[in-house]
Amino acid sequence: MAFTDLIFLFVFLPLVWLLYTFGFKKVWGNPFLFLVSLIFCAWGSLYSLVVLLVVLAATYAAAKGLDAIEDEEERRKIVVYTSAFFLIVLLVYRYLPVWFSFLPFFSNGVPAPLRMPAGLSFYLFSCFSCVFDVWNHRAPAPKSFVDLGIFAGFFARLNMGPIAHYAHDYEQFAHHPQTTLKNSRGVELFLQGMFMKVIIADGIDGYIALLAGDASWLGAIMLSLMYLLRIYFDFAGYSRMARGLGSLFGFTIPANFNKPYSALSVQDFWRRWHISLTDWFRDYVYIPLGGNRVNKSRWMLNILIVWLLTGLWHGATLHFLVWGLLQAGFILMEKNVFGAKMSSWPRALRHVYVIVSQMIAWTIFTCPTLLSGLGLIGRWFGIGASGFASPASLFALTSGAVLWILAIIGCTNLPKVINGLLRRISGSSYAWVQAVGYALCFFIALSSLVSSSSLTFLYAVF
Amino acid sequence: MKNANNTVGMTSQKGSKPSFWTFRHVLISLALLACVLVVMWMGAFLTSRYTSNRPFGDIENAMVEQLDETIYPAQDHLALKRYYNLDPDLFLHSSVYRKGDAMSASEMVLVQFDSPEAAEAFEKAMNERRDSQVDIFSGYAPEQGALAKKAVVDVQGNYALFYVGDNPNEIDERFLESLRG
Repeated sequence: MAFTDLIFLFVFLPLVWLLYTFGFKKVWGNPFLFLVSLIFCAWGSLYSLVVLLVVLAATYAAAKGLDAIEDEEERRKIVVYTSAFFLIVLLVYRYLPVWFSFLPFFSNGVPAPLRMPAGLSFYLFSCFSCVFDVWNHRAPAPKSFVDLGIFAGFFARLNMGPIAHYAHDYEQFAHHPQTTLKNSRGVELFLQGMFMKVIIADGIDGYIALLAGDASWLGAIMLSLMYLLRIYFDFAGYSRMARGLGSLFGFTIPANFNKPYSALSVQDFWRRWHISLTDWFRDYVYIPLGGNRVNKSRWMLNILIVWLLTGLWHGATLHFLVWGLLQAGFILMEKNVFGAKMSSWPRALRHVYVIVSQMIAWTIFTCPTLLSGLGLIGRWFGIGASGFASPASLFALTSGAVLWILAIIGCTNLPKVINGLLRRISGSSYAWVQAVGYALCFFIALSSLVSSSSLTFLYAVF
Repeated sequence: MKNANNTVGMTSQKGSKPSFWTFRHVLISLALLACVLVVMWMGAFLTSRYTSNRPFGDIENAMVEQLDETIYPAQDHLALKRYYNLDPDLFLHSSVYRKGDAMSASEMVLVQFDSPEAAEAFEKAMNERRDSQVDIFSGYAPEQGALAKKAVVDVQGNYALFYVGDNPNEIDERFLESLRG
């Protein structure tokens, strides 16, 4: 079940919210939320539910053991065995079907029990976080299995994160009061995210289909730009919806995106893009490897390891690994080649550098194979291009003008500025203006959903 | 940060009564949970669909031998669209055996495919067909409705069968045997 499914919007969410708010909140709040999260998980497949429960049970056993046992050697062994357990689960679901797709067993698709459960990479990483944080005494073990279930398997972030950080989040289990402010903020975030996904990301997707086979120079540039915009509005839209849902039930889920295309360097970009994943790799891989408190060659190796793993997290194929290494290459270049001189570059140049570097990266990331990605980038430079522009690329440029403007504005700080202006102009009637605006967004998005033009979330495959 | 143990009522079990979660118990729990997953994965191997290397003609002949051609005359290849609303181009090969009139529920459809999407489309269409035939015949020909109720929808790795008629289990077994050759 996706957040944009009509059954989620009009049955699951309202029913769960009403039952929680007016019924279960005071006594059975967390067990109720855990139960509905299990139903949400089982909606796609019962196998997904089994895997989630097994992973949660393994995490619970490990965390409880780490909390109770004092012998450091035994504690270390628990962490090693649990990590191996999680990695084997990830390997079987995420990588084996891709690496061994040539086997007759997979010739007609992956059998249902071996299909990757939705959100596996996300909640496994949340569980890793719990085990590591209890091991390092950053937090106590979860008080109950239900608390752990809410932490890693809460339906708002089960499918596509944001990845939960145990030491930051565990205090919320016992106390996550619903307030009017949290409710209204939740609705706002959810509707903003829905608009980003359904109107902008799905709108761009239509033009991507139109230009997928276009061999012109303009078509290639536009296609890469569309990849860059779509992945942002799709995933940031989802993350915002997840935060909104969390807020509706009293939880505070930290922002997963912070205007990444406004960054001034690739390193800065990664502090603003998929923040929960970047933080996870920083806290549990980069820093334990020594971070930047090592000699230069070791630091460079640490960066390469982290980005190779980030690429591998996204997928088992070559283009994801190349994408990860490319990001490492940009970061190393910024430190070793550009150095301090980079801060003296004009801001516009730094923005252009970030956008172009990420256009290259997302093109490689999105194209089905490394070669097709390189072919598309080659056409930016005229290699293999059929001409300057094609009728399809000109059509996409002109007919989608409103969408492009909307998307570009959405990547900047302008929506905040416009909101501030509206607040000043409308004065005391601002709440009404806001309500009308959100209602309009909802109905536009809804009309798109009803016409069945909404697509699945891109990051659902991870 | 050992002091994290005393936050918001989540007290550590160290220092209080002995915990159930000893090293041994944690390992046993992990091993049991691993067993659950291994059983599920092994089940996937054991129950996976069979993919046959035999040509469509051989399978079709093996199946037709079992049928009475007065009850199951062959139809043209567009019958798949006409009766089941399935695009024949979705499949590598297909054949439909049934009478043209609406008095008999007996029918057999055999398809060969090379994509999971085709398999899913076939399974969905045939399940819908079975349900609608049961509804239609139960009103005026309950014995035909009973046949439709026992219809076989068997989707294997690259072949699928839909059969309504006498001895559905035997026909299904024959189908599986013919796939193995």
